[in-house]
Amino acid sequence: MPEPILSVKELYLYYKVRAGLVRAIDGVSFNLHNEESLAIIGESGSGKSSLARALLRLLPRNVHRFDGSVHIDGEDVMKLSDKEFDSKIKWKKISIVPQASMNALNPVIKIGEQLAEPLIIHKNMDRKEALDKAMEMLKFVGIPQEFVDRYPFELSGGMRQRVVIAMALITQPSIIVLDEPTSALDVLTQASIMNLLKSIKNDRKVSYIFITHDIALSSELSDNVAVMYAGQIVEYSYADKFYKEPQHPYSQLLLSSVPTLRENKDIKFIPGEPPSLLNPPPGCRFHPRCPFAMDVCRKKEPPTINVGRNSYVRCWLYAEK
Amino acid sequence: MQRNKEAEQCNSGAILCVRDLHVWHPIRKFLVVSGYVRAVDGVSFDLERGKILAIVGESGSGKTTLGKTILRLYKPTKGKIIFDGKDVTFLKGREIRWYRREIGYVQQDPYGALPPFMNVRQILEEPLIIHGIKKDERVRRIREALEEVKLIPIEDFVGKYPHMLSGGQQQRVVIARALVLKPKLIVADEPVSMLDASVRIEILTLFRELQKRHSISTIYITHDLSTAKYFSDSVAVMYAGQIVEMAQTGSLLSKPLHPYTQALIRAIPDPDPVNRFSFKEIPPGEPPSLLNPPPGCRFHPRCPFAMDVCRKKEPPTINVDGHHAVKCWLYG
Repeated sequence: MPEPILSVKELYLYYKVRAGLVRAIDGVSFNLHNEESLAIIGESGSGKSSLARALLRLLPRNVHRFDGSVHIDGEDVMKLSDKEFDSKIKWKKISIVPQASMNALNPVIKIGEQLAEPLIIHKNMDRKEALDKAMEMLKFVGIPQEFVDRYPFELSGGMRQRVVIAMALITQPSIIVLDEPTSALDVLTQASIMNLLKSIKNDRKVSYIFITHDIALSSELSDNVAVMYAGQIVEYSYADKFYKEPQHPYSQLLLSSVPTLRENKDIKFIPGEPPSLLNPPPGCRFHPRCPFAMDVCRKKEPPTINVGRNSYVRCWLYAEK
Repeated sequence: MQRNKEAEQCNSGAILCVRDLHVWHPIRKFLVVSGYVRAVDGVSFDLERGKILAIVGESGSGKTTLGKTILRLYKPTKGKIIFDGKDVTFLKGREIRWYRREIGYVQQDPYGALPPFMNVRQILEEPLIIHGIKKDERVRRIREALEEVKLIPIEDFVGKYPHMLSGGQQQRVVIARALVLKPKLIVADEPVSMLDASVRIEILTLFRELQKRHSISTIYITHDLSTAKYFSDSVAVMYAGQIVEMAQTGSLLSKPLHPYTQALIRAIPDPDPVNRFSFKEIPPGEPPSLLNPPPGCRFHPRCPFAMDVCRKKEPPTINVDGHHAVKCWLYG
């Protein structure tokens, strides 16, 4: 197996709030290989957006703990200072399409200028060259070139989303983090954005981390899947296996809660609510909602167990007796 | 006398009949009306007693305006709304208060729908006070409503303010408030779109249970065809202010007739690993402006099957094998 392009080991990110510590990411490890797409799925509050921000170091001020190792292209970027990270890694090697960013474009700057800005700042291009590049990139994401002189309000939601994707792409990073890239879009627009993301993956040889709460949608763009629950990855598996045979009880319940259009099945919900990240339950964090909970689940945190090629699960059910 | 005539137009099994409903919002420039946003433009349907009709459409299709007009939060421009044999299109004053008691509303964003300065008991009591229900009865009804939405033990919840509840619990309070007056009809506008996948199904299951038990007729407004499949008896698909297709849920999903419905169904993935290799066929362009919709069929600029007639004449609503209505020239 070749070296992964991104390797995360034992990553922790805690926020300090008045009520205590929020354990948003609590010991997360995974690998991402070149030209691969990893979908990270989870419900709100599972820590998936925190993971996106941690990878890009877009952190709020109230961080209490941020450690672990993150290797990008073989380099441990956690050892870099914020300044070094900004100049060497951010945008150049890893970029992000932040959640709802289509609504965060600067309303008073033409989209061409906004698109050219990262090139001027991070790649030291002059304005003319950068604008040419921006025009080329707009065409690539399916926006007519004359739109380079338009303002964000003149574009529809789907087109603004394309601009934001172009922005993440223009500095030619090898990894793009997509944080709910279609959550505010309509069904048809969503499908055309997914088409675009797939063709970018094929043409530009990028790797994706695709963060979503929509399990059906995750299958559109995932070679591998990681399921997050209460700040931890509880299952990591490859797509062909995951959607057919999820291993962790949470993944199984999550998949059975998805209404399907083509297949007729009974849909079930998961009783209870996700735990507070301020005070997660002892042992396995899913045990209060798990139909298979045993004594050990209430007491000891489950280890990460290998359950076949390239798939791991954090659950006592798979521990050797 | 007039009432009888309207009742005749309406199916006897229907609780709600909407006929040729138009809701046009005027656009004013310097006090002069310069145009209209035709949010709802000629919508007709019947809702059978005790059934759930899903109204499915993308944002800007007019589905929320339709819902709010049925609730009479908006005033119709033209057309008729007949509820339980009575014309409620232009009700005013005391009569609208009667109508409001018969209908319930479940909003999209539960946190926005609940006043932050009132606790759960006050929230549920307010509509009862407005409709002049006595104190003892109020206490009983609040208890009943909370038990029904499974916010139990109720003592733990009556004193809580909305921000102290989770999203799922907030939506239960909104449902309890809609139920507390024992309405005959509920309009639920995207009741679960702000909730997580697993909670979504839980709330919809609960809602369906209550709807069945009290046989409350329901209009379920959503952008999500896949939940409509599980939680509705029939589906109406809206596009640019009009219903383009309407049928029993099963037959609409297994045999969609309108090219727009077909595209919608194609665009929605099921969780399946083969999806990552496939590109979807999506109609080009975007929904039209409701200020100035295209002539003829409103879908024609995006339709792969558009013919000459589609560009010129608006298609009629055509009934294909009895219960499947479609507004498309392909079937004319």
